[in-house]
Amino acid sequence: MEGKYVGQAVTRIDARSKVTGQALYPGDFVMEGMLYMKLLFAGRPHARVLRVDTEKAESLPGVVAVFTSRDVPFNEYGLQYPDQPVLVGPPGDPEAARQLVGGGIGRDEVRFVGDQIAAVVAESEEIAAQAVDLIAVEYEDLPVLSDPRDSLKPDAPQLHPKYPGVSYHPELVFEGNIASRHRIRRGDVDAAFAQAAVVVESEYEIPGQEHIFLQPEAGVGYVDDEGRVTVITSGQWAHEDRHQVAHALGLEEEQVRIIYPAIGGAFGGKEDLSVHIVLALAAWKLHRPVKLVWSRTESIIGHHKRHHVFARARWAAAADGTLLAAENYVIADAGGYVYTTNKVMGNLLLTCNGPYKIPNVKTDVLGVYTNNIPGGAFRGFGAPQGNFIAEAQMNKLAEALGMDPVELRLLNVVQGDDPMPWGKPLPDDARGLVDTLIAAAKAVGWQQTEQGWQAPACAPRPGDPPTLKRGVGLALGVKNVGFSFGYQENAWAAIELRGGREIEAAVVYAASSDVGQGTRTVIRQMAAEALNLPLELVTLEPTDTGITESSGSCSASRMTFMIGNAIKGAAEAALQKWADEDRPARAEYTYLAPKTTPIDRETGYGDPNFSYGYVTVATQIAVDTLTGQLYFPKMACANDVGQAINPRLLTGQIEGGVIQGLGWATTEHFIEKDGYPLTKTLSTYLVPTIVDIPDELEAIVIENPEPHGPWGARGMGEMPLIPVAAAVQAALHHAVGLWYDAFPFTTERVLRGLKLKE
Amino acid sequence: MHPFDYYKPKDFDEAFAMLTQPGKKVIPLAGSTDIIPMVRDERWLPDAVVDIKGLPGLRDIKLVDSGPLCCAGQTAQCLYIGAAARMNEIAHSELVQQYASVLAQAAQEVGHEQVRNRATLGGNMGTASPAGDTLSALLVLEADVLVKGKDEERCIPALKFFLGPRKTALQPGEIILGVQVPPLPEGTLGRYLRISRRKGADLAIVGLSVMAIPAEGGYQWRIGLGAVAPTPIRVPEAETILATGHDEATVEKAIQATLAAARPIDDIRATAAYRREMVVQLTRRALQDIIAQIP
Repeated sequence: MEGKYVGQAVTRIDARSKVTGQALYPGDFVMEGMLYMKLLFAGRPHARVLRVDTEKAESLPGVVAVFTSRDVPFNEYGLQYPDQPVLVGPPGDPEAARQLVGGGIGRDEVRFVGDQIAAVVAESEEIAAQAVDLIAVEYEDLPVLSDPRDSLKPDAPQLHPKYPGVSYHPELVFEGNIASRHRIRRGDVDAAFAQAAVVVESEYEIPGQEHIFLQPEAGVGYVDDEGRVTVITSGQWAHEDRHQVAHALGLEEEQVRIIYPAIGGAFGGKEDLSVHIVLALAAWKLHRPVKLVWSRTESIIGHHKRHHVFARARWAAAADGTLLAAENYVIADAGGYVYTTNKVMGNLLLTCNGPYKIPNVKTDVLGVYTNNIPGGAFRGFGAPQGNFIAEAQMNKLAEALGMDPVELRLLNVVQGDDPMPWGKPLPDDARGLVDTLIAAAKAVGWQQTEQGWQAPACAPRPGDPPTLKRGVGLALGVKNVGFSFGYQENAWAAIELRGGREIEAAVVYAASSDVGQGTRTVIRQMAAEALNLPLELVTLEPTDTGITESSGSCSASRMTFMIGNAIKGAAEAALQKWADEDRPARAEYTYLAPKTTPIDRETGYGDPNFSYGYVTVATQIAVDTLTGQLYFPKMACANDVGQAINPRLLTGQIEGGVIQGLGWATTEHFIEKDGYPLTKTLSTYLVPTIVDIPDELEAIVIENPEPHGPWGARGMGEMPLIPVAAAVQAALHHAVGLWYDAFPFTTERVLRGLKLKE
Repeated sequence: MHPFDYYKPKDFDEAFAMLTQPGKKVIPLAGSTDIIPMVRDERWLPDAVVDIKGLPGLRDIKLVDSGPLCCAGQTAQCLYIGAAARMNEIAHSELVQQYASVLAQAAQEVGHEQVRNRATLGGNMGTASPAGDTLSALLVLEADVLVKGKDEERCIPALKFFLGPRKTALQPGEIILGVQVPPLPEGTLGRYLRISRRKGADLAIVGLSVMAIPAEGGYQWRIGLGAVAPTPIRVPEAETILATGHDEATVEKAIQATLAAARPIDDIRATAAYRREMVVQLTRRALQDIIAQIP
């Protein structure tokens, strides 16, 4: 539903300030009397901290304070579960420590290299760095678990105490090193396998991924003029940041304030806290502004990664291609702490069987502690891993059946009231599944013939050496929009209309994190549309917990959907108050999304989500079979977005998502050895450059309105990344006849496969 | 970041004095594309840097007559490339393309566009990474390196300049003025090929320079390899084989000789096995490319 502003490529609110360098990012703030912080990271994967001697550091001229575990009032935090110490070491107040989850046991234990030991505050960054080197820590090294499959062995050391579970996260089981456990049981897979014409069995290794947002973690902490400890920083959910900071400092939430300025990317990597608590702690204790900026290497060590996943899959089909059964067993590396593992695994559970009619399903997913960098949120949130399993299985089944992969999907894809493996149909008509599949397939050369859809032949092009092989491949994806599994999704917004006879200004309040995707621009467009006012009259207040309520997390492809509905509600109410002669006319509105339910612990049955996004990626590939180098002449991504609010920003999301997925599939190889990351710089962890991306990337926008979405919009930010890796795997197979079941598909891995085939 | 002093000398005397301050670790700076990441990552901890790129003549790319030191005894003019000439200046220079095509090709492969706008030939040589793209090109060109110490200049053949990873024949305080490439006969062919994990902005896993120089009715061949030994290396065994001809069987023998000369290691970028395989593929490709151009 296009409008005056909705559906228009309005210029970004921050285009000018960012292009001219005037936009302030968290590391750009300078305050009077500001001090500088440097952190001492553990730098070892598993050890007990016996003693932290800060005396030498404290006596260095220019050092103002050194904080350790003894200084943190409530030394625990975590987005889903507070299993991580803010600073690792012996407790200050043993009585307070006993109130921590698990009775405060193990808070002196380093569980990954990025655990923090001490925070030095000094008059300059150089002095702080020198003082960090003067801190003496006595460690007792402990055995390191660097593979989640080893963590499951009976004799493996247990990395965490047996924590008490919580009713709202029933999947967090804390059984040995299993942090979370998830399953689906439907029908009888064994009986189905016994009568199947075709069975495809595989083992997959799906890699982790580092976010490489442009702006590493940074912030400034200070006490504001109302006595609130305030942190200007980057994040994805200001009110949740405030909640965790308040908890660790033992403060009321009203005593803590979080402000988000311009943010240089997040991709899920800023869902969990980084600099927030230590900055708040120092500012609160010292009553002076304190600044902390992480280096790229500190960032890579200090924040979580996409989960590294090991999977076994066994799928069966009848001779005509009808799917009969899917059995998946998945182990994911949760690393040292839970972060969002339980929720990421929930999404992996729901996506690893694809959007298909499968009468018999058996799925087990485990999130398992190790001493690696924690696994956590990253664009797609479990769906990219789940998608790879499902779509690799589908592409292999198509080959085994002698069917075109498009035809196999059309035969099995859910439509209308067909239930998903959790027993409920997708909440809308899910037309986007077929629509995106056909559109993306056509874009790379699929043709409809009398025998059905057929992949292009991919003959050599003029000038191709005989050793260059070409192919095409595709994968279909689905992912939920918004928070799920029974959580009552909500988003708050307020609008204030100012003026006398006429509305002269509309001020919008929303706590939405603009991580670079342009959500503030879209909010302004939607507010102008809802108020029927010229865009110029609409302004947006900063994301600041001091002046807003919670609009929820900028994640799960949810923000446009959720805040758009909140804006509509607030606009309607504000216009009513304006009509009632309120001046200014201010109205708040909290949008509540349709209810969802938790899924059954044993069977996975339930109604876990209220909205989904649909996407297909199809790609052409050219493989240099002598070197293993891959070329991508064309990729296409078809995305059912419901309604594009801002087509230009949306196309940017599609292009960026596909390229980020391509990096994960090809050059981005995050390597950890015995708990130590080896790719800690941008010269060893390789994101695609302009010469590595496809020669042509076609973004295909499909608009099947989402029944509950504002103006019909549905979430889309994560979708384009999700099917990329499986599409590349399929194209590789089409080109060289090999299934690569582990990626990234580096030049070396591709060539090794070809050599083994010889 | 580790703090250091920055000096910008007016002339060579001042540069020498600054570079030889007693008890201090001082590094010459030109494009600084190595220094900045190395200092940031705390792998180099200099007390000071001396910015030499403004010194006279250091950015020249020109033809020069044979001299008493470098290019001695040549009857035709040599190509002079100043140490502070940037990679893009070298890659785009018609003189370099004409007189030292393999070096122009190698310069084009360094880093990415922004890096090539700053990185210099002298910096690539002074850093002396075994993976430096231009180094194997200098070996096959048999370039001379003109260096200057306190009072005098001297000439070091490129073949004797690289002594180990990050180790060169430079004496304390000496700076590279430039290189001189001896004249080559008309019809000389050159090819630089490299492979990296990522196509843009990545260090070479293997770099390869090949030249075919018309000689006595046939060709004299030169092959140089990078990133497969502690220094860039020449492969005289393969060159000798190719001197007898370049039919398919001889080419394969030369490829095997090139492979035998490579002593690669496993590192985070590639295994030794993959590097060896790439030596074979790049050598074959480069030789085929050149043979296809032979009239």
